[in-house]
Amino acid sequence: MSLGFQKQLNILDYGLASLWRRKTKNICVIIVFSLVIFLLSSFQFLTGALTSVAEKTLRFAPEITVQRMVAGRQEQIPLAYVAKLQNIFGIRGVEPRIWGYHFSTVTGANITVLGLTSFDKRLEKSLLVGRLPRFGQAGEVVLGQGVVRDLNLQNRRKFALFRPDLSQKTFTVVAEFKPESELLTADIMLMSMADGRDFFNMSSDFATDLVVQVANPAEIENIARKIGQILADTRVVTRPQIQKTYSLVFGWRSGFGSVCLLTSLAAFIILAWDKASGMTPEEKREIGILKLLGWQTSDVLAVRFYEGFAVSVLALVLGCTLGYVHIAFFEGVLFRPLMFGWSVLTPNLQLSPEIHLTDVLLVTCFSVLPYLVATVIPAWRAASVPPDSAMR
Amino acid sequence: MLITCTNLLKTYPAEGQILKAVDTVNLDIDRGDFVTILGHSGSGKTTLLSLIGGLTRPDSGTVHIDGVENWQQPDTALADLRNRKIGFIFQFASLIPTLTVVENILLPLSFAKSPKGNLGYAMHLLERVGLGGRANNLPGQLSGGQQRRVAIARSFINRPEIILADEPTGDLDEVTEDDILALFREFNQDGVTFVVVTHNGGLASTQRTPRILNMSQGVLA
Repeated sequence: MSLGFQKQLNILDYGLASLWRRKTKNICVIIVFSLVIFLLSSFQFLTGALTSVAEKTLRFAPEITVQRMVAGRQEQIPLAYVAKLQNIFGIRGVEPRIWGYHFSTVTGANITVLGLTSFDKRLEKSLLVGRLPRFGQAGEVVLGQGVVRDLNLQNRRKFALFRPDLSQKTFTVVAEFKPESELLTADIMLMSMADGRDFFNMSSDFATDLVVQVANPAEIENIARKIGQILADTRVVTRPQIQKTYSLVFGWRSGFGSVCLLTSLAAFIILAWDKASGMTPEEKREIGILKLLGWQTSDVLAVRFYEGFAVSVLALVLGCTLGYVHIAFFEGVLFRPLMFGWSVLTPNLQLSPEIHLTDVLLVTCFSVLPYLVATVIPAWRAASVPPDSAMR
Repeated sequence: MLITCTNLLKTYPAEGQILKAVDTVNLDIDRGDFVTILGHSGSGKTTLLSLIGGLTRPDSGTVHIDGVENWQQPDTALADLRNRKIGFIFQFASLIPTLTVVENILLPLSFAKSPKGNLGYAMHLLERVGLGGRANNLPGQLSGGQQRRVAIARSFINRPEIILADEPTGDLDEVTEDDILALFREFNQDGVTFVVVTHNGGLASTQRTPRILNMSQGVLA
């Protein structure tokens, strides 16, 4: 073994022993540092998990949705518009849809009511527990988990809601959306178009919007542009736009939260800096004695570096592990209100955090590196003083 | 010559004036010498010792050790000199309070191939200063005199050629002082060079040390 390597091992040994000698102080630092990293990594992991769930669920979202706008507000769209779209090359099909909200005066929740003329059979396998509603059977619905909880249905399969004219409409639950899709389906009540019209007392000549399927997904934006040209009074929303919006919303919320947490991290780093620059007389004396005994400035710095590295990496591992556990087993309970929104029908989904190397690197850059700088630079300043200063 | 000081000058600002702590000192010390520098408090003894040990940079003049000028060397070489060639005994409590007695003694060997391989020698030195049973105590559990004895044991651990001692028996009783001086003589007979500064005329008596120099107001007589 070379003498240089042996020297580094001895310095490392001294540094780790030095950490252990001040174990009470260092354990406190590790606990606080881990807590800050836990909060930061939770945000990163939660954002990744939510984006992943959103991407999986939005695969079943309409490729293009067409809404009629009057005076800048969404109005019912005439079914006559369907014929105008069917001639556009590349469109596989156009279906009217009812998309509305039912406000429950009992619970104060908004239920999203979705009435369709046909159902994507793939839904049954991937997102439902149960079967899709039959078009001949009035009142059959699929409910999101949030609606099931809100209506307190438990094992009951039948329930009634008030129409706008306060008459009651009875529904039968034939399926529930799977819990893992709750992020986007928690508040949804899916039914046939006819039931949707009946529930909202809507005219049979209108729908709330039109759903367009395209032959080639790569052409979505082109076809959307053509629709916008043909139906000038409509707003055309594409699936990529919705996906982007969700991504932006989660990104914005995560960013907002992260900025708040970075403030805590900055406060911690400033505290560490302040602590390191205002080293106790004992710590300064220790550096002085080491220098008197032949340690070089770089050796003293190496000790501080190893100490800081050990503390920050341990805190990073602890913080990230806690962050993972927080998301995987406690469903990100601390940040649910911020990330999921403040809806009454909040999703209750089981998240599986996806750890990306970039997330870990980001957390490392914002925690380990500043901590190392905050501890090594003041030590460098203290270690640069002439050794005789410790004699006086 | 092992140590050669030529026209050494070191000044400090004090109350708007310049205080000459070491004033144009010339000193030659041969290998195996036992030099005692006697002077009152504030006479510049400690400053001279730190100039010789490469701890303090002189305003002018030179210190050569083994023919090499201290301040012509890079910091790394000077640190290496302090680590390998010189053993220091300081006037102040120079033990690291969170290390045990034996860990403090082994500290100068941090860069050796096997610091813990010298554990036997450390224990021997500890026995020689009368603290064989206190190896695993912390400095805080020892008296001032006992801490001084640990520092003395530490100064010998890297088998230095030179011992620079600042009031080495300051906190010690008469019996222990004699033990320590016997230890010094033993090492001196083995060829280790001693430079001891003290205000203790007894310690500096000719019966105990072969060469005595007086220092007053920075001037060596």
